[in-house]
Amino acid sequence: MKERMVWTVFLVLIVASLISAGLFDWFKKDVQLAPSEQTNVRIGVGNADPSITNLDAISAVILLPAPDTTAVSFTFTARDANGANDLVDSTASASFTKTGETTRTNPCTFVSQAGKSKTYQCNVLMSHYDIEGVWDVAVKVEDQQAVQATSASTFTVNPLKDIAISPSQIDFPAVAPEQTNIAPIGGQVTSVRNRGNYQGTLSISASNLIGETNPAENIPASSLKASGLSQAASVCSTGTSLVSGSVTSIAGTLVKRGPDDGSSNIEEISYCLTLVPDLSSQFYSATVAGGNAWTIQI
Amino acid sequence: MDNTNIKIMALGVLALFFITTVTALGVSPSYWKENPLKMYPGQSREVTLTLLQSSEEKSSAEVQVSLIEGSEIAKIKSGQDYTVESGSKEEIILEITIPNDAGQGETYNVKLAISPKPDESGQGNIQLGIIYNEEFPVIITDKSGMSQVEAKKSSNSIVTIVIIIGILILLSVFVITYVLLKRKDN
Repeated sequence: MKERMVWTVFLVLIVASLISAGLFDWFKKDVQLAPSEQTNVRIGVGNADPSITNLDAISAVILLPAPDTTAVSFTFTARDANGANDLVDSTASASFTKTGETTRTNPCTFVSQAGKSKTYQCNVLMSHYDIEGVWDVAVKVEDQQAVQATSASTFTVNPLKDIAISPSQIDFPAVAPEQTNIAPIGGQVTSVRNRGNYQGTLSISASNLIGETNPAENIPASSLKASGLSQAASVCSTGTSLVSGSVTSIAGTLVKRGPDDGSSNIEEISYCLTLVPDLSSQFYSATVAGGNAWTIQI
Repeated sequence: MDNTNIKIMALGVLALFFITTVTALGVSPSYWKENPLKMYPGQSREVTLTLLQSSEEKSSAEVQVSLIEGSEIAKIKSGQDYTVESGSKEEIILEITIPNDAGQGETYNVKLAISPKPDESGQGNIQLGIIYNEEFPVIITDKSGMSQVEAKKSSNSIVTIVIIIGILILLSVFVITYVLLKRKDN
């Protein structure tokens, strides 16, 4: 009785193993045995699905400023039980995705073979304005039967602040005491070109304009207003008043991320000298008598 | 219009003939507000920020770096002045040391001001420069908490090994039982 029970349990284990391994499938089709005659043994080996056995970790990406692009390089290894040559090199590719961002895709190239595995090198180009944060990376390669092996992971893109401003000065025309709402010469604005992936407002650290002959007199920074492109027409009324020695966030400014095409990544700062105080006739500027240049800050 | 006014206008017109661009540079930090640095009390480590000069710039950038906030835990190890050649990179290295008595969950803020040297050729009433403000939080975590994560990973491995050993023991029992019964029958 005991023996029967042991055998029953043992048999259940063995049969379960054979079923899960699909070994009984042999008897369904191609393997047919006859006890007393010669027979042809024919085994059909089907297509084995390829798989990705290794995908390199991608280090945090430091983007290059515009106009350059950043090549992100890494390798992956794929294996095919039917042999490495079953993998179709021309189908190897990688793509970087993030919600709301342009997908970056590039083919990968074969670099080496070991046994039934092939390793591919991928170089995916990213732009200076690709947003910071966690991105998804996916790689794939197909076999001769167009069965696809895929693998996915994530990596981080670091922020990049890089702006170029032009021109590097603000010039006002000759003015008279008590004159109001004066624009810079020729309606001059400061063009801010974003060469990185920063997006946000601009701030200005201003200082008083000091008399070059008599430094005791000055035009206070608070007499000047600044605004972004969206409020350029009304800068004298709706612009942000500047404060000497303080960093002031400028209303209406928006540094945009975008292609370096002359408009998508450009913001402009407009200025207005709202009131000229009662002062003596002389030159007034920011950098005389120990004064500092104004700074645009992000 | 008096003579002084005429002089000012002439200066302004002259300045327009020499419109220049402020030489900018790129700054790329390893940690930022949404990607804070996590450290535990007593821990010390280096953190880098990368300075990059675009390949389109013809000249190198002279850069000055100063620590604005976080001097109680951070110091600039690589110096305050940098020269970044066109198309190349330089690293600012910060050394961060968390005091032994820092409380878990406490947050420090590290802030740097990075300013390319202003263009000396600027003319006009107001010269403009650029300052990049880089800041990141440092969150104090529990070292033992980090160890627990590691411990959980290793306990998972132990469970797997125990299961495999259990299966092997079961198979051995069956084989031994079979042999014993066979002998008994004989």
